Amino acid sequence: MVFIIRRIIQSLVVVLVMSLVVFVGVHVVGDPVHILISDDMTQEEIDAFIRRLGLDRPVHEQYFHFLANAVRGDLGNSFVYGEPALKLILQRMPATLELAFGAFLLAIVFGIPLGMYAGLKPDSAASRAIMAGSILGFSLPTFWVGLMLIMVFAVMLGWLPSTGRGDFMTWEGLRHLALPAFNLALFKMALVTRLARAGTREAALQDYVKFARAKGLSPSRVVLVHVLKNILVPVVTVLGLELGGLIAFSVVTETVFAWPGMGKLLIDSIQRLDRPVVVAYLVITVLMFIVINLIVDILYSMLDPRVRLKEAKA
Amino acid sequence: MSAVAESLPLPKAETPSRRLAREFFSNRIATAAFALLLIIIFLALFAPLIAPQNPYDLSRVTVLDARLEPGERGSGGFVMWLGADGAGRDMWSAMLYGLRISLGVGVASGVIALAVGTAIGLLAAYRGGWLDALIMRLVDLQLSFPAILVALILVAILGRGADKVMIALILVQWAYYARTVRGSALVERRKEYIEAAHCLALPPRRIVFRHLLPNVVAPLIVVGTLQTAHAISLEATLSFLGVGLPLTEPSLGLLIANGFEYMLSGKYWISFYPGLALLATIMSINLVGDRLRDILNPRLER
Amino acid sequence: MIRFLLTVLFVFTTGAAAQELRIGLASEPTAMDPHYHNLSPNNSLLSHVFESLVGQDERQRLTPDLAESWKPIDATTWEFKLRKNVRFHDGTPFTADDVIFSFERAPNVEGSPSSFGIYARGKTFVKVDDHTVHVKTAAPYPLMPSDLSQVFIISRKHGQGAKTPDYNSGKAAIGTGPYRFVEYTPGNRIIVQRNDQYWGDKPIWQRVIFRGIKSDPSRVAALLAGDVDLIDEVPAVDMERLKKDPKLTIAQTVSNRIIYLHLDHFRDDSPFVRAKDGNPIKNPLRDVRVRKAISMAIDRDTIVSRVMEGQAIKAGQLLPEGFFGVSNKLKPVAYDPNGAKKLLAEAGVPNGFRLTIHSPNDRYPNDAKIAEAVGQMLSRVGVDTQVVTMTQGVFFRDASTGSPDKGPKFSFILVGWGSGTGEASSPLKSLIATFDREKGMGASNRGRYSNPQVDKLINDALATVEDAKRADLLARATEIAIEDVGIIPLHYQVNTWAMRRGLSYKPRTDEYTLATGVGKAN
Repeated sequence: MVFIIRRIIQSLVVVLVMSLVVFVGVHVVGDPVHILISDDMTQEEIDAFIRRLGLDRPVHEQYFHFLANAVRGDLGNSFVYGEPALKLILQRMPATLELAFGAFLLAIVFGIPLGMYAGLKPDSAASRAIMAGSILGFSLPTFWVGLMLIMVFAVMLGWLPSTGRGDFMTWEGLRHLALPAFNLALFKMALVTRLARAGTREAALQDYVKFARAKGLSPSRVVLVHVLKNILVPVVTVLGLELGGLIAFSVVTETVFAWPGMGKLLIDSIQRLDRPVVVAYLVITVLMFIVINLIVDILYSMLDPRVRLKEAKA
Repeated sequence: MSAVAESLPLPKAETPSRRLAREFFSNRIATAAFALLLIIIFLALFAPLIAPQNPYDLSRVTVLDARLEPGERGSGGFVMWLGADGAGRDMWSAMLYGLRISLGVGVASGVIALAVGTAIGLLAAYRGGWLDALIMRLVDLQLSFPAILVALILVAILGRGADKVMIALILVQWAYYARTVRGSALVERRKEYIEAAHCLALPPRRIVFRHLLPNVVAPLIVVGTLQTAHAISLEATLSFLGVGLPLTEPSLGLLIANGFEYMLSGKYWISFYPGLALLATIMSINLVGDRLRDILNPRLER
Repeated sequence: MIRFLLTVLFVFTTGAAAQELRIGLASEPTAMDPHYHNLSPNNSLLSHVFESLVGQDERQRLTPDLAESWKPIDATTWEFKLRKNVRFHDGTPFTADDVIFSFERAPNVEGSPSSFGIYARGKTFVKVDDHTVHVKTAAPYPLMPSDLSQVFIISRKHGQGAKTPDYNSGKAAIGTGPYRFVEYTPGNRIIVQRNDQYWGDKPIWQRVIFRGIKSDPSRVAALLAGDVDLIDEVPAVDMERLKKDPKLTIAQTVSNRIIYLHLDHFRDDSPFVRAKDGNPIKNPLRDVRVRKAISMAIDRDTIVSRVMEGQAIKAGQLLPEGFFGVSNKLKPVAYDPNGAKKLLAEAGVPNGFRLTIHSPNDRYPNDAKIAEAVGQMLSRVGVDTQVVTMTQGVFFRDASTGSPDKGPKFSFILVGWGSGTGEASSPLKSLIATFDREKGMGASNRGRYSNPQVDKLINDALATVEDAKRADLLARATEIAIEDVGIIPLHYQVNTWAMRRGLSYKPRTDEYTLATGVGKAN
């Protein structure tokens, strides 16, 4: 419990510092006013608008004003949309989560079997191909793969829709999800494959697996029960941590596939210097990461009792 | 990389660097990747001598050549074997120069991050106590955020430009090095020879630089290579998202991003060749790094 | 049985497809509140749901809309006769009260980034009867119908106390237009449904879905893959291929937007003009010969054909021919690098100088590439030009107020101007007139060009209600300013739409993408 409270306090400090940095940074970089106004407004009207947004006041005053509101759960209104930034982000969060979890599932479904195979038969040609493929997966730039996928599967073959999102969990929705989720999953797939391979190789050498084999258990049972159990711990931990990465990297995928998620909102907001949305996005993601990390820690301690002991000692 | 390895303290018989080289080159794929990497570095270093055109000299580039197909002759009088991009730059020249920027940004930010991270990591490991705790909290925090997100926010704050992208990349990377160095240094610190050095009352600086540092070089090399590949890919991604380098002096990532809009109209070369070059660069570094990891520290994971 | 099912399915799907139109938009609107943001994507989309007193046709000529007719009845009063038997989507009749209410609300929307105040400013609205409105101004005001074409009329019943979120949710989004609001999911899609009680021509589409697809390649891919039926802002690079595609049709027209260069007219020591050795020099851009030389050094044909891939028309003034108030004497300056060098020599800078061109890179089609091409061309006549491009937020701030004394920071910039009113007073007033904060003149005159003769012509024009006389004054002001190279016009953009074969689109100069303009070609 103390541990959790300490983590939350730490995270609040992070949120505070980062919001300050972003606040000041975006203020220095550019002026949203000149993007938003229409060309034929007079200077008088422009000044009035700047006052309305509170942009005429010194930055530190603006920041304290923001903090005062933030404590009450108000992260400010978007300069562009005029709606609460928080609402805009929460509106788009389901789309990003759908994409991230889709990619997460794909990474596991493909990554674990491939990795286990490569771990069990490290010298076969197929395993070498899998490992080379995983390095390729690490090396391919996500955005480039994204357009290639659109080119091949949407434009040339016409199998899947090129962009956008359908309704959640419908056939149309899944068809829309397929390409972006695969695009996003590629990197993690490579990661899972390698983790699973390493875990499998390690497990295969361990006594209890050797023993299980010697006992005459069928190879498939050995693999499924003993090896799988052994590799699940690192895979779950790493993937849990990487879920945050998936959400962050969805920025790229969402941009390519016009997926209406938080990431696309972030990029648009950065380009339009819509400071309240950028700051709110940051606050939300930091909070989200804290929750994810906590869940991973708890899961981890359930899967591996040694962790709990260590934590208690520390 | 081998230059660093050679400065290791050398026992007689087979030197560690020799052994490293022997083991490294026993793997054919790694050898090929290493050769490819050397070629890439050579091309980047000598780009101005190899390239038929200086793609950044506006008086030598003309839009009249825009989007020439591979193999056509441009107005500069030479054949553009890889075609021309939307501004009329010879693709081959633009790629060589772009490679220079990509590698430059990646390696420079990597080296600075390595230096900063190593210093901080050693400090944490050597001093211990509250300083160590503070530094490691900071490192943990930074690592709990995806690099792409941190870099994106940083560049959004700092603005466009090669220097700004580099600052962002350094800030994103230093923590990896700090953690690696601290981890290895802590292990070394407990070993007898350091204790002996302490007993001899050697000055701390000497202990840190002569004894601790050389022993953390191996994991650093591994993390360094993989991080460099990561940095190059990150820079390309930032440029693609429109927050990276300025347009007139494009890196490989920006060349791809620029060529992106031409893909559907069949002008594949503007985006395809730089993509291939980027892939080859990242892949060769990754393969080399991967092999190094297998040799130096099999248990080290990304 | 299966066959029967298939037939049913086929009939069903094609039936739906024939009634439904899916449009991919490059820029999506920022709100469903018609008075929130004076921005083309908003105005374009919202004109499905709402209407103005005065409409603009595809060439931006004024047409009767909710007002059947209008005329000035004395020097400072315009009378608007409203259309009868028009009903809002909820069935309430449209009357003068709604007009008065709309113009009260338009300038006062909370948090509005660019309000419609400019169109309501200085006007007093008086209800004469349910279907007559008088609009009074202090001085004669010829642009009245133009101004009133820019403000949507909302329902007083639903608009009272309604804030922007009430429109976004659809609660207050009740207009008189040909389509009813159905759904708005920011970043994803907007759906509208046919208004069967519409007073004008019945819309042919039962249901229209708009999707924002900002990325150019993605938008084209969506069209090619059949995910949408029509896209706007077709990227120049894909034109060649799309034109050849037998499954597609293209529609295009010249736009009201000019891309031009603004030069530093007001500083003797201009921050981004230097001698070749890097030392400060007296700003050569203040010499009309140098400005002419720069204009002559630019090969507009090449920019149009190579950079814009034919998606532009080279420009010699502020608006393309055919628009109100343009000059028929001005022609685009011909490419003449040798003449340019000669002029530079005459002006005392035979070896040229150093110059930096600043340009946004995400505002206009190919903006950064145009700046780069201009840089290449100037470098060839000896003006060593460095190209600096940046995101629009940074660019426009610095270009307008980036210098230490809150004035323009740059010496030489690439910008664009779209004339919302579709006539020449708009660019003249904002780009050419002497900068005057109080009077609202020269608001975007970022080169601070100033010519009293031109100012007088513009002011006279803005007080002349008689059309022919006003057009002449505007044309004369344009001629003097262009001869003086107040700005360097490059080209007018061409607006392009691409759609699946079987559809047609009435291309518009104002960049609007309207479902009402999409027909079924046979």
